[in-house]
Amino acid sequence: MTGMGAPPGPGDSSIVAEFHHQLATQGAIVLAVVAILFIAWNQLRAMQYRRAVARGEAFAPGADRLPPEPAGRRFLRIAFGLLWLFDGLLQLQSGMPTGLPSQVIQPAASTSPSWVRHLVDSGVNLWTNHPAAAAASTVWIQVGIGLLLLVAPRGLWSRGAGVVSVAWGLVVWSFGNAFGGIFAPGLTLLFGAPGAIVFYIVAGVLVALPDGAWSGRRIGRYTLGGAGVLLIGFGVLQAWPGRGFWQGGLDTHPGTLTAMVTQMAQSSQPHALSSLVSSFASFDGSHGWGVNLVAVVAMVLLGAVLLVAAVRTGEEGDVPVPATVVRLLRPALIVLAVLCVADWVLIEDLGVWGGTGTDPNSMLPLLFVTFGGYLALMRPAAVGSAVGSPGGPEAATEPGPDARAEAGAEPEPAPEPEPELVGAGVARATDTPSSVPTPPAQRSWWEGIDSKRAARLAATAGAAAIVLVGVAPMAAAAVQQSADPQIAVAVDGAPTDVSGPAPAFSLTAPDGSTVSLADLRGETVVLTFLDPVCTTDCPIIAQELRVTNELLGADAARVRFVAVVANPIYRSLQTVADFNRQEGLESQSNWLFLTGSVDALQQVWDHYGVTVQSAPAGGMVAHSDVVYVIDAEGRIRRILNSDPGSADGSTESSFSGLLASQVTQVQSR
Amino acid sequence: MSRRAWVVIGALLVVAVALLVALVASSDRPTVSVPTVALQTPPPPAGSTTPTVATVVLPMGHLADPANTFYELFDRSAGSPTWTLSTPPGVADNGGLVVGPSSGGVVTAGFLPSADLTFSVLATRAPGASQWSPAELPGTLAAEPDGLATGPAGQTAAVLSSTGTPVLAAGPGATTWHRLVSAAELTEATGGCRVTRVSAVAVTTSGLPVVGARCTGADVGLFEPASPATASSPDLPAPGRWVRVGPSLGSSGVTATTVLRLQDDGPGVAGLVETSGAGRSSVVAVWDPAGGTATISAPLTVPTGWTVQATATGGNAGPGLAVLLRGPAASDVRLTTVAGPGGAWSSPGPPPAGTSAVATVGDEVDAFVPAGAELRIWAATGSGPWHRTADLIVPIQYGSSS
Repeated sequence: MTGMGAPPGPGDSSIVAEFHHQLATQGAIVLAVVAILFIAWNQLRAMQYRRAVARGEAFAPGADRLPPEPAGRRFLRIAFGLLWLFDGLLQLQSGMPTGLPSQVIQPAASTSPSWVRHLVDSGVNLWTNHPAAAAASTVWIQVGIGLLLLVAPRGLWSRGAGVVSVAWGLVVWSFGNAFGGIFAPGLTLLFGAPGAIVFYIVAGVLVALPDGAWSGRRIGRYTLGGAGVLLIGFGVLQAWPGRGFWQGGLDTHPGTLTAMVTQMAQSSQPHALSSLVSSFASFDGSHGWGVNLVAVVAMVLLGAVLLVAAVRTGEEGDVPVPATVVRLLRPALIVLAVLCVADWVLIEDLGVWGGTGTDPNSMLPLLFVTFGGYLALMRPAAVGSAVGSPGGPEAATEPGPDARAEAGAEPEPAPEPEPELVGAGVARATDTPSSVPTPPAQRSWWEGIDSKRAARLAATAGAAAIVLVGVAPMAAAAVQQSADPQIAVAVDGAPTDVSGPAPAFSLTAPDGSTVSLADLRGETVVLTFLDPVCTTDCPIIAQELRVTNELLGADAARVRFVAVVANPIYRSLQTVADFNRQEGLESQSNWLFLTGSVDALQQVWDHYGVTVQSAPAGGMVAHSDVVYVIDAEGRIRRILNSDPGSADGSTESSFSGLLASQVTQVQSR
Repeated sequence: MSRRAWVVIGALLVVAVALLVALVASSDRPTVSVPTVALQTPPPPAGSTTPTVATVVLPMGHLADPANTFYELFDRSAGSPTWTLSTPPGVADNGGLVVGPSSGGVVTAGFLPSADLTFSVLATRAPGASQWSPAELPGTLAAEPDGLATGPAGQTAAVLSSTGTPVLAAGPGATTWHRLVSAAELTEATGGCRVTRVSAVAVTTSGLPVVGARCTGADVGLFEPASPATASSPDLPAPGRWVRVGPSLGSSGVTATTVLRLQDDGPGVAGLVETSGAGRSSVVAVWDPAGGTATISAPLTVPTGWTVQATATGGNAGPGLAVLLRGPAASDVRLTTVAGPGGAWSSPGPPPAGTSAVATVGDEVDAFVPAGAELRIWAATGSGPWHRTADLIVPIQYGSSS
């Protein structure tokens, strides 16, 4: 038997090539969409300019009528837009398709309860069955979410971006992050709990909130209060005895934090950084008690400050923040920022190394959410100022009459700039000084489109299209009946196209009847060689053929699966029947397991290039793992290496799918 | 929030839910599922000696890796001092190997399931032959050292691992099998004990089947057909009734007995029985002459924390038995033999370090010391010193069945 094929590992060249191919294809679609949108917008501007010239009017870009965005919301939107964009670019690493499940997701879930592992496994199954598609999809989804947050500052599109980031964040947190390890031992904020993605979700929720929710200081209070509770809670957990954090080094065994940091330092990264992290690991090993004390005190005190600030500040935006809160809050945020950055560098090791880093871990997102809450608290949007009032991007401007009228109510789109884009691509008397005369002729509808807003809408549509470019392939992969055939190709190589007469054979079926290849003319024959007393590969190959039969559906009626015994000793009709029964194949009507005399079998093995060799000392008979696809005219059309490789679900499913596609192709010739 | 906003949010949530449902629904796709069975723990090493051949089965290879631990058969013809590797080819035996040599020289070997192979097959070898012939068994062999027995005419009996541990029998050639007895039928036997499983089978020189079992209580579960005359046949017909011939161990505090080994010793059968009760366990030798009264040896105490690592039967031209005990520490090893009925347990001296199997050939005890693919064989006679008799290299096929 040929040696077990190596499973596709991180960076497997064929999988990576397929990954890059899908990225390129999807990238081309994205470019096409963006190009079309850009051309359309450019054409609009050109047409508006020519019409303005024809009318003798001055052509001016539209006035930006976007209402001012609350400072906190703006900060969160831009910060997490950049984070999502960065995370999407991290997904471009070559190790992602085959390395993410085995090196990131499953290790993260390994100490979680079984129900969590089961949930994670369902996501892992999708990824391992379609590594290239899943990895490429994730790139576009995250890049798209980032761009959507950045280019859509207000309105439904912006809030939709928040919703999409929440939805994707929840998918990642559950299926890909084992809920941040909150159900596993060793939980610590210092190392990423409750999962960086939780802060992305929080930010998404905040961005998705209606404009009216940003009036006053309520969001700021809740955000800072939540951050305070989180810090205090994790501070208490950090202080809890018996979890190994108070000990830097336990005899010859490192404490919990030291062990974590030491492991991080060993990942592939710039030497200067690994040295820095290793040094901190050594420092913690010697001063673990002190380090943990600082961490506990910092978390509890900072959390208390945030909580007090939230509690002692009123919700009304026109009521100033108490001076004591301001005096506490600003220094606390500075300290928090310093400690978060220190943890991010020294403990989380920036989170992006090793070839499968998915994000910069949790300290930056935690800091961003907290700072966003601070801005929401200190610079609240005035009541009603979120809607309809012109002005710059600064928050808390004087509310216009429309905004006052809507104070406290859900904002209505009118006079919302989207999607109707009510504005002025051409200067009008109501917006600009009266030196621009009213054109005498009737205006076309496109002359009234505000080109700046049109640009913004086009960019938003482009970002949304990027998200869809990512979602569609992943959804399609999820409903595929079999794993990506590329996995089987990575294990066994691509099928070989041939065209030559299939050597004849005449052997015996378990019922004692004689079956020859000529008897099967008119059917597509899938021919393989199996040892009926094999302990490893052959049962797997038999099951792969059974699944192939299922995948073929109605086409299977014109296919015959034929196995020839590949054991010179154990080849009796009874033994063959026992194998069929063992594999549940005795009831598959198009399955034949043929045997014969040693001479007859040897002839078939020779003609089909199959090596069969007995082994001494209790070894299994060694034989080639190969599958031939023979067309209805009796010509060999495909040869596939059928070594099961690592024999996991994805390689088995992939081979079945690959074989089914080859059979279908041969049938359609 | 406007109606349009709700519509947008709802649409996005529908997409998300659809994605999750698709993930869940992916479990309905056809999947490769290889049928497996719960693998049995292979039986401990066992030596069996008949008037024509001595055999021993022991594990070799990477013993910490079950997939790369292979059970090798060595045999030694009567009168020859040389042990030869004789493992039957054609099947991986890393699930275990059971061998039943007969007084007539026929040897039957049975392969236990391994990995994705869920049924057993047999191999038979004619007297004096070197080639094995394949044979089928309609079931899975039980992992017992004497779960397979061959009679003088080549008739075969096999204990299966299925519920009730039925025993099957076949005539010479092992081509047509029929049911011989089961644990439930033995419980109903005359003088029967409560049999929880059949643990051994033998066929005497006269062709009589004898079955050993695990019983609750102090009775030794040794059973013969109630009508020996009609049961002694080359075809091993199923007798209508069985009778327990094993002795009772009386009020010795024994709560369970298990026949570990059972072999034809000429007059009848000789065997080893493990007893347990009151927190103690011991091994007794039992000899049951056909038509006579069974006799037992003094109990050989098995210290707490020790186990029976290996056994041997057929020594001293038939009735001789050997037990290799091993304790928790590496140096805790004890080899004890008994020559026959009325004999006392004696020790030929500490066996060589690393001994994992023994065989008794005449008055000689052979110790087998495996190390990966190498096998060293030592011999001692009576209480004499151990001397090394052979070094063998076995071509272990690592990776062939993993």
